[in-house]
Amino acid sequence: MESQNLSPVVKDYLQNLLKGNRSNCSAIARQYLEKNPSIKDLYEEVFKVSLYEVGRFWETNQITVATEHLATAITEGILNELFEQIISGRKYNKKVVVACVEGEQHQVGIKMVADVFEMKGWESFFLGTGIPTSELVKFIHEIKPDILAVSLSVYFNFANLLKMLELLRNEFPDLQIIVGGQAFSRASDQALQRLGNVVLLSDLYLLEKYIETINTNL
Amino acid sequence: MDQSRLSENNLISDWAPLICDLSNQGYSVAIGIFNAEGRLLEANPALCYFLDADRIQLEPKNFFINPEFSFFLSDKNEELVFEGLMTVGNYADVSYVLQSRVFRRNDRILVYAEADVPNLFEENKKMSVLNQEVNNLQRQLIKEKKNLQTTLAELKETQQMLIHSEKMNAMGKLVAGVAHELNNPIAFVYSNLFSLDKYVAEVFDAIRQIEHQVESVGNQELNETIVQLREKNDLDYLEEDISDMTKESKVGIERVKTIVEDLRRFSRLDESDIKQVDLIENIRSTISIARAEISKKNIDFQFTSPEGLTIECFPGQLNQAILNVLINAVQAVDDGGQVCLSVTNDENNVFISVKDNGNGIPEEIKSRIFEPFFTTKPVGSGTGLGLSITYKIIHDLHNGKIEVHSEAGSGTVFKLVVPSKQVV
Repeated sequence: MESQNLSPVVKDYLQNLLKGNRSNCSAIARQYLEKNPSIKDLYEEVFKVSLYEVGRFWETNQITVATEHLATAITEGILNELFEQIISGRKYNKKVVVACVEGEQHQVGIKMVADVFEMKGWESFFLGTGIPTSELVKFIHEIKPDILAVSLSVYFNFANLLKMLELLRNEFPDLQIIVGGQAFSRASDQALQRLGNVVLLSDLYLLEKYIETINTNL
Repeated sequence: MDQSRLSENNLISDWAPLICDLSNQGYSVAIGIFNAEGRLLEANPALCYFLDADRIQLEPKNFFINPEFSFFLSDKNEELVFEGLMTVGNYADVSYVLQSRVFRRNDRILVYAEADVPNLFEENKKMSVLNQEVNNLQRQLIKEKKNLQTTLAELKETQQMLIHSEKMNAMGKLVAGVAHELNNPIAFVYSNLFSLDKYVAEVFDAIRQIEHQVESVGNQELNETIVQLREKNDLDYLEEDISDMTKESKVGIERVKTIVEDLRRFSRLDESDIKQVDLIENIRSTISIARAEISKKNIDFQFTSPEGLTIECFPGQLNQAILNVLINAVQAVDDGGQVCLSVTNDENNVFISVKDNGNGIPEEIKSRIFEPFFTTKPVGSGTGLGLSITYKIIHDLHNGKIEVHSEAGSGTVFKLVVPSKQVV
């Protein structure tokens, strides 16, 4: 398996991910944070790049789905290890529901999104993957979030996203919806136009700015 | 996993030799030939893998756990000697369950075993989903734990604040009660002292008049008796001493009166609401409460203020806040140090500054001084609540603010900014 233009830390992390060596991966993440305490950078520069690479290995028939799941599970485990230090002391009494498109099995991206909200003092709520949109609607009625964040990792599910957005718009005309995920890097402008009134945020840095803008107006 | 087979004219069997060759090389079908003694004569990589055939310390035949290898040697006359799930492994860390068929021709035994791949894929999928759920649950648990920790810390803080305010309240009640009880006896001692002074003067005046009357009669013997009586009873000295004693007693009782008045004003139990009060008088009472501490350390204490400054405030609470800051300043300086309390005002606010020439607040703890339970005093001598209560009183109760200027080595200034009028 060949990977080019990857930083040493990503190469190291990726290698251990594919071997299923969770404790090494965890150590790499912690060492990274010792040098650079930004969890967002760790997510963007190490986790995201590594998992995109894992996805590419699967697409190019170099690894099995099981290995891909293992890599994701290990990374999610590390997210949980870090979660306690992420939860912000300052609370804004704002809520976000994070969700995956129906049919989408990849939840690690949206969890990073949830983490950025938590770091900024928001309360995040997540139902999990494989949840039908009808369940999500019930959940939103129950939680009454200020924002709904939807992640799309696989472009294959784009049609599902459009269907989901239409349904949510009818049910919650005033709900602010933001979207993001790997799939959008492959979507054409034409496809993006069909998203309608949603905010597309392509990375965690833009997400952070977006949340900060809301927080400063509180 | 049972699935119907799609079959058309035995197309697959046309490829039989190639398929056989490929299966022989692969890992999903395990094929091997044993002799009757259990020696593995030939095996494809899959069987070698499952039977751990590379290990020399264990005969491959011993890897058959259920059924055991001897089962294949039964006297049955059929070629198929076993069909079903077969467990192979080393009774320790290696164990596989394979869908198997075992055939026997004379002393040759063919083992044909396959892993249930579709089932494995299904299981893997379920495991992945379960793993995601476990991950999400773990996350919720972490969050709940954090929430509980925060709630616990808040409860602890509230509890300590309640205990403290209850203590202050009880002490206030006690002080106010004692002050009230002392007021009556002080009042009559005070007024009796004045009467006593007056009556003593009148008695001596009467004595002098009597002496004068006797003198004017001109009876020598009587005159001498009177002079003797005056000298014997030391009347001159008594008159002077009684006058001094009443004067001192008057000063003493004035002081007692002031102290009681200060205690009453400081505790201000009757004034839990916003009131218009003379701030300077209040601060004087507060100072007198701290006076003992100030004198004990021989502190050079100065108080400067305008006269007659009235503000709207919660008097008892504000006194408490000022006392906390004042006591802190007194404790911050060495013996003989300086503490200066000054009050100024503008149109909207009064500024109460307490300045000391102590060691100042170290940079690393500046941000923590208003935190509840944060204290630099030895265990047992400070609750760490003083400044946090002061902060609540000034900031939350009076909508004021506290400014702190401190430099290591040159002392600290606490400036309480309190609005002159409270918006309710």
